[in-house]
Amino acid sequence: MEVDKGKGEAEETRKVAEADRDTVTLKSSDGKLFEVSKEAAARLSTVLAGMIAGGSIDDNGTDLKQIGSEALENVVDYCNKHANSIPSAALISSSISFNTAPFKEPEEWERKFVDRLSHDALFDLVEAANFLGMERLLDVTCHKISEMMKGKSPDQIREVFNIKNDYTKEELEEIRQELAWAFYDD
Amino acid sequence: MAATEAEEAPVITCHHQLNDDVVTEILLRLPSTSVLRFRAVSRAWRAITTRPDFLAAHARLRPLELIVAEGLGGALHAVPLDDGLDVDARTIRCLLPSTPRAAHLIAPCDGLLLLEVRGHAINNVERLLVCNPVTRQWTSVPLPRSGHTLTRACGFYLHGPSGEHRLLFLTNDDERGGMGTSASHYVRSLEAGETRMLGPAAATVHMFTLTPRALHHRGNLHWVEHPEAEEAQEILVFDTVQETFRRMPPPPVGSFYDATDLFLLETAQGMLSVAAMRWGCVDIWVMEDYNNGQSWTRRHRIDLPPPLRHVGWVVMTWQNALLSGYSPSDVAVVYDMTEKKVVLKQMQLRCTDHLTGHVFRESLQRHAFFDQQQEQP
Repeated sequence: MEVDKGKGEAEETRKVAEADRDTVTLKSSDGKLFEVSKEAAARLSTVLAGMIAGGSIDDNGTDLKQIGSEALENVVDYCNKHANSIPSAALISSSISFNTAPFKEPEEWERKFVDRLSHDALFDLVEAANFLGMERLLDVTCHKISEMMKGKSPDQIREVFNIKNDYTKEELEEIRQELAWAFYDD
Repeated sequence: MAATEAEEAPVITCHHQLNDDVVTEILLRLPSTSVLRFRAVSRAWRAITTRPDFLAAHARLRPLELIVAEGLGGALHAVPLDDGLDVDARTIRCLLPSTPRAAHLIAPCDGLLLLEVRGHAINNVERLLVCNPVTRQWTSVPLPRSGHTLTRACGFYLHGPSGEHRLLFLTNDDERGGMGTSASHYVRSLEAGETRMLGPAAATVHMFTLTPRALHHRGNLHWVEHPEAEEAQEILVFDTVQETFRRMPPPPVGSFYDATDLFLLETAQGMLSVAAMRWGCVDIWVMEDYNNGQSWTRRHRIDLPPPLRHVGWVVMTWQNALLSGYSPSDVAVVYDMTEKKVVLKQMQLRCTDHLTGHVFRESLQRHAFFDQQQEQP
């Protein structure tokens, strides 16, 4: 990349200082600030990586208006924990998609990480992971949610996901008949 | 960036609704039957799960599974083939509750299964059926020639340029059958509903009771057990794009008549591999360079743990080789290729069950050929 010579000196200095920092500051929708390792943020989130590379990280807290403080705290917590965990063989081999499950099973600490979350916190976190392009965290949170869905009926799923049934009785019966076998095994 | 959803979301205080992007991500990770069942949740969920791009992505993300058959015409089961390979009652799930009488599973392709219904007299094929076990759709495929010719389906592939599912047959040219007559290959497109003859007849092909078993690798089908391949003691290769045949040298395991069965494999690194089965051991050969027939290298020698003395097939996962044989009922053994040792043995199935050695990925993708001719087996 070519350095933009037209920019002021102060700007240059600020940019250099920012590049030297090894953390970035993120600001939740409700104005709370969180510090996260720049390396982990760039590695785990495609959106944050893009912002860091593009220089759109604000020293006083990069606004993430779509993410509440509880979800952002979990995101940051996850990044920090991930930065400390030694990359396992399972994660290394996950880049090669042959003969193995395309979604790697969560590791023990990741499982514990999502297990302690309330239902609402888990849903907030999956949206934050999706918004920030955090593939691995999306895998882990979606895995947890798909486990919650196992063996459930459409009625139960509507309850869990807070969805209104917008089918007529007749339509539902038609789907049920057409896909009868899907209603008794998983 | 997704800044628009917030305003549209209905006001719910207990817990919020997930946006469609996230719901899609979750549904992509569910097994096929769950996806089908959850079409009954709401119109929005049905819309998401019937979109062609969703169906294609969902199919790509299905885990690879090994098919277990419960005897002829019995149920087909699926066992996940991840590295925590552990074939027991908990991990086996029903793929298809039953198949038509005396149906043999010939080949899986793109989430579909090709099944052969055989007659009694000459063990000939009576009917061919294609089925999607997940959507429970069936269609029957007409045989290339009528009359008393012998026919074997020897390949099932996706033709890249046209996107068509095609079957490759070998059929005897004259009705007497038996030894020393010529046979021809035919290709049938399921989408086009047409059969055509392929190339010149293969000369003096010994007619066959065995079903040629193809390995898909790099857009080609490969056989070691094929009437033409056996005659020439070579690996027969079929280019599924050009639809032409060529031959390739097998690993230097000695003569084909040296009491050695060969079984084609693909390694985790995407290399063509051959398991050479001898009494009491199995050698794994790898073709280091696909374009060089002289690049075969023996990578492993697996000593079979007693009482298993002979295996019927081998399947490779990322780290392991799964070997199965009959002693006296089906037994599977797991060999760790990094540690170079047998790590788990004697995964015993019920005596009626049979590990087929066929691997499979589910697919919910729709195919018009099922709608044109829906058939109950």
